[in-house]
Amino acid sequence: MKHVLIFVLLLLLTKLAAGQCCSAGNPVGGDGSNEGAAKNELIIFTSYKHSLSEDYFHNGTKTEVPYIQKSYYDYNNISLTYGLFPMFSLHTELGYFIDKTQELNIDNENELIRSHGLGDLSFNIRYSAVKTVKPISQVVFSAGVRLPVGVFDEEKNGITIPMSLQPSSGALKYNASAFYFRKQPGHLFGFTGFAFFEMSKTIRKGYLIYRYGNYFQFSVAGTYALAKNVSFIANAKLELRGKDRRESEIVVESSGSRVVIFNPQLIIDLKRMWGLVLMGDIPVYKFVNGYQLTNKISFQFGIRKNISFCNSIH
Amino acid sequence: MKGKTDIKNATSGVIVYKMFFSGTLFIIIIFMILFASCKKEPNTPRPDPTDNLALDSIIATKRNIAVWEEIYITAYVRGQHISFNWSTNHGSMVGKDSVTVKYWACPSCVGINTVVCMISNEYGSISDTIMITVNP
Repeated sequence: MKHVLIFVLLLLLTKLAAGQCCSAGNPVGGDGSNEGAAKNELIIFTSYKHSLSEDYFHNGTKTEVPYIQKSYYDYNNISLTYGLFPMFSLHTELGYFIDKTQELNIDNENELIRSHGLGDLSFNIRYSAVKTVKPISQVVFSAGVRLPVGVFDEEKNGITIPMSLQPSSGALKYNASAFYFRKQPGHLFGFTGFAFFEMSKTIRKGYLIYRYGNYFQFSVAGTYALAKNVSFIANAKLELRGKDRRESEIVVESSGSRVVIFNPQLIIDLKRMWGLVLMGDIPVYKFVNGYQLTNKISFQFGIRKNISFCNSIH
Repeated sequence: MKGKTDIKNATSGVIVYKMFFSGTLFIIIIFMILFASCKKEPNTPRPDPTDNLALDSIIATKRNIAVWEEIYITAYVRGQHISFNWSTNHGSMVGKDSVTVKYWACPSCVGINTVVCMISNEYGSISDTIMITVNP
């Protein structure tokens, strides 16, 4: 049961697809989890995610646009969380886009714009401010950076692929988050709350001067233990993204959005501190500024392993 | 005494003669060099160094377009074995041949956008830009 709870903590902050104008966007957030690892404990988490975007929205209404049929990506990531001290842990994460694709129809000819490669690298430090047994609760604060170490100059047939389809976001980003979990011992239900903020530095590359809008995420979730080692989480996320800016601080009117996402998760705790997770992102409310391509659905499958170096030494 | 004077005069004459002769010879040589350098060269064509690699211009079918409007941008180049790299700060491009690309912009690309064409071969690389204004 303990591992199930840890897994719940791990997954309540999961990757999101931030809608961008012309593509499925990049996964958001420097975290694969928000859990604080115990001292000398290493948590390895790897996952595969597929995200599909094919609905163009004008404000809150679906609209038709030429050329773009759909956009999708297949993404792998690995994260490591290590408990440095009882209250502090370090988290790092790196992702790889197996493909990031846009399907176009131009003058009745189908065209693919596709890239692949490393995404961004994130580092976070986590502070477990509160950790109690009765009730089972945890409050974790996290702060970190995302470094644009990945590919940002992919090209096809001698043409550089648009920024939104590059594997890396291209921008240095800072993030901070707070996480709360509470569950009464012996009860099947639990509750979590989560808040995440990310701000971006300006990209300066050649003629490209661009800054992504600030990103906020608030989520609340109820957890329910279906069986001894199986939990279901019903998570609702509100994503707020500010407008982007380009050179001379010109506001990009077709950027920024408000989206509510239902994020069901199934968590299975296995023997020897292994675990599995299945989850999906289903947008239930979308409002975008101007015209933007929005995420339709995404799903993710992950495997996790906890390694305690204290136990192996003793 | 007179004989000594005659000998001295004769010696001076030789010196003057030698100086005159050598001076004349020097001037003649200078003139020959000058005439030789001024001689008209044969009319053989020389290759223009820019023929090895040149990007003469980038032409767009329109430079002021609306969102989703599609235009063609063509690079006029000289040289052999040229490879192209097209890029833009905002907008999308596709192209089946490298000389001409199709450009359009989605709503988030409204503004004055820069399209860069860089060409390169064994002689080096060179680039030029064109500005495309995308209106809402």
